[in-house]
Parts: sequence; C-alpha cells; structure tokens
Amino acid sequence: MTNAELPQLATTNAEFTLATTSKRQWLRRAVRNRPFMLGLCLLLIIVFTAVFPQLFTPYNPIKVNVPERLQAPNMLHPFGTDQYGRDILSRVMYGGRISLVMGVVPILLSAVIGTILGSIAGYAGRWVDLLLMRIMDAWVAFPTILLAMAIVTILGPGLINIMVAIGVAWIPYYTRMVRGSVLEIRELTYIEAAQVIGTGPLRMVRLHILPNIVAPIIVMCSMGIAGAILTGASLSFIGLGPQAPTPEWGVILADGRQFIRAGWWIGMFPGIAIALTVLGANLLGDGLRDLFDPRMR
Amino acid sequence: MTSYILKRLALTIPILLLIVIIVFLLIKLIPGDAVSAMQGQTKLSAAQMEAIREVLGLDLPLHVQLGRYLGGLLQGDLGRSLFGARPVRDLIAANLPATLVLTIAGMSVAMLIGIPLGILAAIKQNSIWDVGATTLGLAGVSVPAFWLGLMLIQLFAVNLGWLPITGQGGSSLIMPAVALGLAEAAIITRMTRASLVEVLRADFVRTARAKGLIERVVIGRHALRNAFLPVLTMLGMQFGSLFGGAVIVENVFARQGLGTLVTQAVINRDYPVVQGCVLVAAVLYVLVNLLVDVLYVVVDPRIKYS
Repeated sequence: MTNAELPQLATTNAEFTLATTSKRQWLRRAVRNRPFMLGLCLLLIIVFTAVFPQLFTPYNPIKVNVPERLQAPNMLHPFGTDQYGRDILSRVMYGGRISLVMGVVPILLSAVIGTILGSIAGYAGRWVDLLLMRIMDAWVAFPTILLAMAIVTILGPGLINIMVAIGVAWIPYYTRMVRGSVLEIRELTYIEAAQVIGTGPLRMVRLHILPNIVAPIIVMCSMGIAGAILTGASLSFIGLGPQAPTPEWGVILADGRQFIRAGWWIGMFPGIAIALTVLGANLLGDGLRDLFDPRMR
Repeated sequence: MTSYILKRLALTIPILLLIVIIVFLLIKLIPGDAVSAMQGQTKLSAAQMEAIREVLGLDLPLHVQLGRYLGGLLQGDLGRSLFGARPVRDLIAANLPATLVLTIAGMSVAMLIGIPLGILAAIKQNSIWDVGATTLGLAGVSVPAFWLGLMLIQLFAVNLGWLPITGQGGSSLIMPAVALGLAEAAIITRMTRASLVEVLRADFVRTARAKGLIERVVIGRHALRNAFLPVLTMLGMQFGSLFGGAVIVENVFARQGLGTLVTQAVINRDYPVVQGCVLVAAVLYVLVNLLVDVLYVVVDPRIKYS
C-alpha cells in the first residue's frame, strides 16, 4: 500500500481504518501487539528452518541409512530416526517446505477466486447475487475434507492436486466475506459519487472497492493458512497427498502411525511442527484482526 | 412454529437440489468419464466400455443423466460401487451409524470441555483462569486431531494399556472422541466466552444483580440462556468440520465408518461411493443446521417466527 492511497482509505472505509494512522504508527502498534509479534516470530522461525535446513542438520531427508534405523532421539539425531534410518529432524525441516506451500497456495487460489466471485455477487446484486450465493450456500454444506477428497478422486493424489482440492473447497468462505464487504462499501457516498461521474463497474471494483477490503481478506488468509495446513496434512496422512519418501509432515506422521510401538518420536515431532505453524498463523491472524479492526483495540 | 418449520423446510429444498447438482457435476469433471477411469483398474475393450456406458446411461445428454440421477435419489438409489457392485446405499447404511456415533461423541466432548471453560473464562475475565482457558483454546485449535489421536494411543494404549487402540465398543470410542472433540472444544470455549462477556455487560444482567440475585442465578438463569444462541449457531456450523474430522480420526484408530469407506473409495477411485458419501455428508449438514434453527425457539423464547 502506498502513502498516496492512505487518505482515500480514510474516507472510504470506517471499518478498517488502516489509513487513519501513518504507516509508522501502524508498525508501532504492530510491534506492541503480542499475538501478532508472537505469531510472526513463530512463523519466521519455521519458514527460516524450512528454507535453510542445511544450517541445522547435515542429513539428507530421503537417504536410507538402515544401520541407524529407529534410533531414539540422541545427540546425533535430536528427533531420532525412522524405520529407514532417515533423520527425523531433517525430514521435519525439509518437510516444512512442502507443508508451508500446501498451506499458502490453496489459500491464495481460494482468495483470488473468492474475491472475484464475491465482488461480482456484491456489486452486480439481484439475480447474479442470488444465484451465486445459493451456490455458495450449497458449497459450504460439504465438509471441507470430504469435498477435497472428492476432488482428489477426480484429479488423483499428489501435491498439486491436493492444493487445488483444498483451494476449491475454501472458495465459498472468501466469496461470502468479500460479498459482505462489497455490499457494505457499495452503499457509501463516495461510490455514489464515482457512479455519478460515470465510473464503469470493473474500474469501480478494481480501484474503489477492492483496495478497501484488502484488510479483512489478509486477516482471513492468515487464519485460512492455518486451516489449509491442517487439511493438507490430514489428506497426506491418509495417503492422498505427496507420496513417500517425500518429506511432508502428514506423510511423516503416517510413518509414525505404523511404528507407534517401536518409535514414538517418528510421529511426535512432525505433529509439533504442524501445531506450532498453525498456532503461529492463528496468532498472526488474531493480531492482524486487532490491528485492522479498531473496535477490537 | 409448525409453519416456520415447514417454511424452513421449503427453503432447504433448493439448497438440497443445488447440492445434488454439484455432486452430480463433480463426477462429470473426471477427464474422460467414469468408465474410462475404470480402465485403470480393469482392462476393458472399446466395445465393453461402450456397453458399460450404455448400461450406466453415460451416452445420454447431460440433463437426461441429471434427471435419471435425481429420480434414482428419490427412490434411495445412490448407484453401485465399481468394486463388487454393491449398492452404495447399503455401503453407506452399514458405515454411517459408526461415524455419526463418533461425531456425536466428539461434539459431546467438545461441549463438556468448551462450555464450562468458556463460562469460567468469561466470569473470571482477565484472571489467570481466563488466560489459561484462552491459551488452551488457542492450543486446541492448533493441534491436528489425527496427531492428537496418535499421541493418545501412545499414552493410553501403548504405555499405560488402559484403552484399546481399535474396536467399535464403548471404551474404544473414548480416545477417538477426545481427539476429535478437543479442537472443537477450543472453538466453543472462545465462542462461549465472547458471547457471555457481551451478555454480562447488558442492562438486564445489571438489573438482575441490583435485584439482589445471587451470582449463580444471574449467570445460570439470565446470562447463559442469552449467551447460548451464538454458541448453538456455532455448534451447527461445526458439525461439518466434526464430520470431516471423524473421517480422518477413523483412519487413525482403524474404526469402521464412513471415513474408512470413503478413503478406500478415493484410493480406488470408486466414484459412486465417493459421490454418495459426499452427498450424504452435505445433506446431513443442511439438516443439522435446520434443527439448530428450530432449536433457537427453545433456547430463546423471544424469537418468534411468523
């Protein structure tokens, strides 16, 4: 967001008054917001270990090392080793790459499509709104995991397919939220003014409506990432996501289930990694909501 | 109230129709069609594939196929499994009760933990109890149910030997229900707390206190009843995620149910079974939310439906 856009925001959206304070003030508030900072730090640490795992562990996450199989956590392997002697710490850190991508990409997909559909429904109104919203009502009736499973049935298991499946399953939530925000903004005076000077619908949505609903979309995305990571790991766990030996948190957990008696550590650590990432995303979302929504302060 | 239920039912019908259309179209998205997808499982000649298409009606125009599908559904026909040719209706009927029992048990765990914790956090606002309940809530929503299930197995079945890992009986339901219900408990805690905090600030609560009523009565009789409406709404909405969670948790505990059925069907690409399971889950969600709407009147008699 540029400084030039800030005054416009102030006059257009009372709900999210990002623009009422300067960027610097906003950052100061962000630094003071404990959930935001805690979530951000947690996520930054996880992203850092996923991007640079070689700084923390020398082991290849997929290289079989049978003599060292099923070792409990020790100095050489702090998280232990699995049934093939692979270092669990390496697998968890490298696995973070896929799991994080699996959390972010579907949410971007659903946010983009949901924003387009929600804007159309909210701005066009009448039968377009009625039709789109009834479809969304039916869509949300499908449990996310089951709908994603049905889509995986069509597309087949695999990382990309699972991301598409999760993304498609989440579209209605973004559509509903964006539509609600558009309906609210559509009634404001500056939109009327823009209509009077002949602004076309596409330009209206792109220039005057969308910039003002970015904040709630960002909040929803950060919380959505948490849900997408959980859904993705669940689907991988039952064998519908990336396939072994790919290091991915759900896949490692599935290994852990098979060796629950012989190696508790196999399933323990990827679960903690998922929980910390989801916690980080939830805290960040909570913090962002507090920062963007002045009523929460 | 009867007229409200009838009206609400009438509003539900178009949603159900849309759900059926979405499920029908979902399978039409398969590259090629269901018969060419079967080619992966069994080697079929072009003539055999054509014959199967004719039997299944896949050579008919789309709207005719939809009409036939709808007609079949009205007679309780969900098609046949591609493996063993058993009717999907029978497969679902054999597995659905176990999943429903698990979902209800999970919901009960969630309510038993979430509502008291939420109340405690609200009445002891900003105290150590509040911080504890909020922290627990945040941790609860972050922990994956299937991982929690594995950890419970490790502790209570492998280490302590108190509970069985698998099975369909009463004691074997405890761990899956806890694994499933804990995340939902966290959501209910947050919702109950937020709702009760709002109600406790209301004028009628101040009036009740000013009348000299003891705190237990103020909260139990006046505040809770009013605070419960958003919680009830949340419970209805959470049914879908609980049902979805049950699908995964069943796999962890190797329990018979819709979860293991649909997982196997997805792996085998047994479309009619997946289609049937997804349809049943969505219809159940709509019906549960219809029930929640009706329950509003019971919880809050001020709500009048015309």
